[in-house]
Amino acid sequence: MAVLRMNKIRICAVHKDRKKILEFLQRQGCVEVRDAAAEDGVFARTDTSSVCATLGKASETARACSEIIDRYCQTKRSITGGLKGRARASVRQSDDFCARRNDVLNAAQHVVSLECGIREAKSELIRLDAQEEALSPWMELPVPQAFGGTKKTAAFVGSLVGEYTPDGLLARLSAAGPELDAVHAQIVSSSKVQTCFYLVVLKKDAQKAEEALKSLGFAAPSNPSRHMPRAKKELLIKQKRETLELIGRAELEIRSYEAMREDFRFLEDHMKMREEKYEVIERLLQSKHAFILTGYIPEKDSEGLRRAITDRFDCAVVIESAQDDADAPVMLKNAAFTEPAESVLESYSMPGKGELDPTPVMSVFYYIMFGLMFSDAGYGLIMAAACGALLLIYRDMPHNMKKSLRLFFWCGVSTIFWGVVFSSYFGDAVNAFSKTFMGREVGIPPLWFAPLDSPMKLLVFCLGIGVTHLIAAYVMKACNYVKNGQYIDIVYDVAFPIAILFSLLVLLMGSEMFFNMAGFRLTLSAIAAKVCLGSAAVCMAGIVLTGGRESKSWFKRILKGLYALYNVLAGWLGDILSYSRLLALGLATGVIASVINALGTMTGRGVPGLLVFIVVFLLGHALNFGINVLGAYVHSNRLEYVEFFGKFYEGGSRKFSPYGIHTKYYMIQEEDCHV
Amino acid sequence: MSEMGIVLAVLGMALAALLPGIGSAKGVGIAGQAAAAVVTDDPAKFSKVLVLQLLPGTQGIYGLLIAFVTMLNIGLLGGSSDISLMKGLCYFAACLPMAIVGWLSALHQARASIASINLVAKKPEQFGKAMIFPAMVETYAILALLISLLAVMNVANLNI
Repeated sequence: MAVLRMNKIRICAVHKDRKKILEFLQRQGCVEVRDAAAEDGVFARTDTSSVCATLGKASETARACSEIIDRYCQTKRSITGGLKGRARASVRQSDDFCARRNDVLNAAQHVVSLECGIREAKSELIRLDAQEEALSPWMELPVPQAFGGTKKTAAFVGSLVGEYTPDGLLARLSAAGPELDAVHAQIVSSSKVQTCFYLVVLKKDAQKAEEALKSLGFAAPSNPSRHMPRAKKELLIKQKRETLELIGRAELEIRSYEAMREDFRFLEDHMKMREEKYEVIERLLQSKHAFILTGYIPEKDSEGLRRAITDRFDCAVVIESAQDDADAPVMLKNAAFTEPAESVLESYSMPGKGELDPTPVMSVFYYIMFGLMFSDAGYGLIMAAACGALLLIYRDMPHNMKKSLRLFFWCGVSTIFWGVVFSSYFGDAVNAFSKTFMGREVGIPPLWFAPLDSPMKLLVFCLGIGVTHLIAAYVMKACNYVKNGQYIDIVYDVAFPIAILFSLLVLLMGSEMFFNMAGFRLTLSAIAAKVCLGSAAVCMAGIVLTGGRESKSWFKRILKGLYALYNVLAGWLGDILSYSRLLALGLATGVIASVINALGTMTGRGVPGLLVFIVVFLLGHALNFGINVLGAYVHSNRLEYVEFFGKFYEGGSRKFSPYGIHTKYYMIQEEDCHV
Repeated sequence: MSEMGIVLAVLGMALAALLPGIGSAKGVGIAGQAAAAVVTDDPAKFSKVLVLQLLPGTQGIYGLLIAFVTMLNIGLLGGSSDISLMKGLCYFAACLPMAIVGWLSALHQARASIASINLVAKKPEQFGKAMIFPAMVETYAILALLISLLAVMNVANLNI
């Protein structure tokens, strides 16, 4: 139930077995390969980055191909697809695939290029459409757009902004170029936006006509055609038809590859696995005939792997403890109940060197605090039932997903518990419903008390949970000190602060203020009060004297000690008050739920009232559920990270990430035996 | 003057719903822009940035909560709404922590959220830590909620 012991492993074998050994290790997935020691005259490392890049590209092609096939074959994607996990495949299947992989890769590349063709054809279609659109005002033009004139004449085909009549156009033209004569202008089409026309002048006047037109803002058609407009239009229509046919053929061809979908998926996985293998090869030391692999392996897998590998291959396996290795990665092992909280720990940091795994303690508090903040039996039941059902149905789901669902399952169970304790079932839904629709208010009495009746009592309870949580943190700190043999530090850094807290708490619990809040108090005799005061004073003095013990000069030591005392006192106050969020968020869930129920019952009795109640109930509680599950999750994390871990936990190690099969669709498994 | 009591109480209630609501709307809005930008690059980060976007949204809910509890206590939803001027002032004052802290903390939390969204865009594996930064700001909204809630619920017991 803790950080697993790590071993170092070295495997030395001959070259001809390299592929088989590496593939075997990949399937076992229990060795993290690290860079081998320095090169020498005999052993050297090889650069495989170009191979890795090629393999990465191939797996990317396969992925793109699968995506294209999914798109064109209209595959229904189920929401729960991600929960199903990977299918199992045997080593033989994998080896058989090797023989075909080039064919499959070629097919995948072909599919990708077909899709690329379709995309190009589609943009071509848009271009053709634009051309046809631009041609439409020119349909009545009796000459091609590119027509430049005859032997004696020059022709201008183009448009002016605005609407013109033939006379109006000639008048503008003669105003712009008074010396022009013998001008023939014919309007092809005219609209408010533009007037398209062509103009014929004598060749000698061409220059002047051009200048006159330019001054009017004449625009020649872009990309003028040598065909007559009608012929050009037919040409465009034909090109469009051909492009559409091309697209149709390509789509049909892509669909014909649907049967190979599984092959493409296998290809993606296969290439990913090979890429990972070549990344490992780069880390090996290799000579002409042999290679050495260096890495880490959890102690529990060491002997099994050694046996399995020496039975199969001629090789030397050396295993030694990695206890003193500062670089050794960390792997956690916890019981089924506490394991889900590992993911919360991981997103903070893995335990550093010489630190205990705080997961067991952390997980219990996580469940308790999450439940207190969510605190509704109805919501808890929905959450626990949904997670439980998914876990039962999809047994092969990815491990991380399984962990998260189990985390929320236990949080849901805790939520049910607190909901029953404080009598919250979708807020006061039972009371509201029975009062409105049955005419008689029925309620489920709380196991302990109703928070809205005595919120101060709940506040004291929540702060009490906080005190327990913080003391657990100091106990963890003490355990770390014990593990590292720093016994005297336990007195300085753990016993003093806890003793201060207890003395002050006892004094507080004897006070009038505490009685008003919690409804009970300790009756302290005068001597007991003096003992408490005395012990608090002694411990405070202790902290002042020892808080800065790493400094040599006494002056510095006392200053640091005073600062440490301030930190302890301010820390206790701030940290404990921080747990008031348990109350605030817990009340928020219940009160918002009651608001929803009140809104739902506003329309009163009868069928319409019932319908309104159902709609408001479903929508409102879904919203409240979402918001509060988010709040409970975020603030449980915060209380663990800031208040709990802040007391003792540093973390900083690397997570053990073994060389293995990190695929999407298939899991390759050994047929004969498992290590 | 006794009708001034209920006026002040309703004013406080309205502020508790108004200011944190405005703050949260603005906060979730600007955080949403940052989140959308991240999803343009990588749609797979949607669920992570959505959580971060929603974090400044809770103040609005807390404000609603205080407003509603106040309404229940001053008899706006049925019951007697006969409140003395002094009690009305007390309700008004009790609503203020939630109203003001909720409003401002939502805006500041949104900035922390945006920074965390950018963090997740670059290092998605640091989501756990990214979530804590905005949650730190929320602490103060929760403390204000707590004080407002306890105060509103206990004004009725005052003998003024």
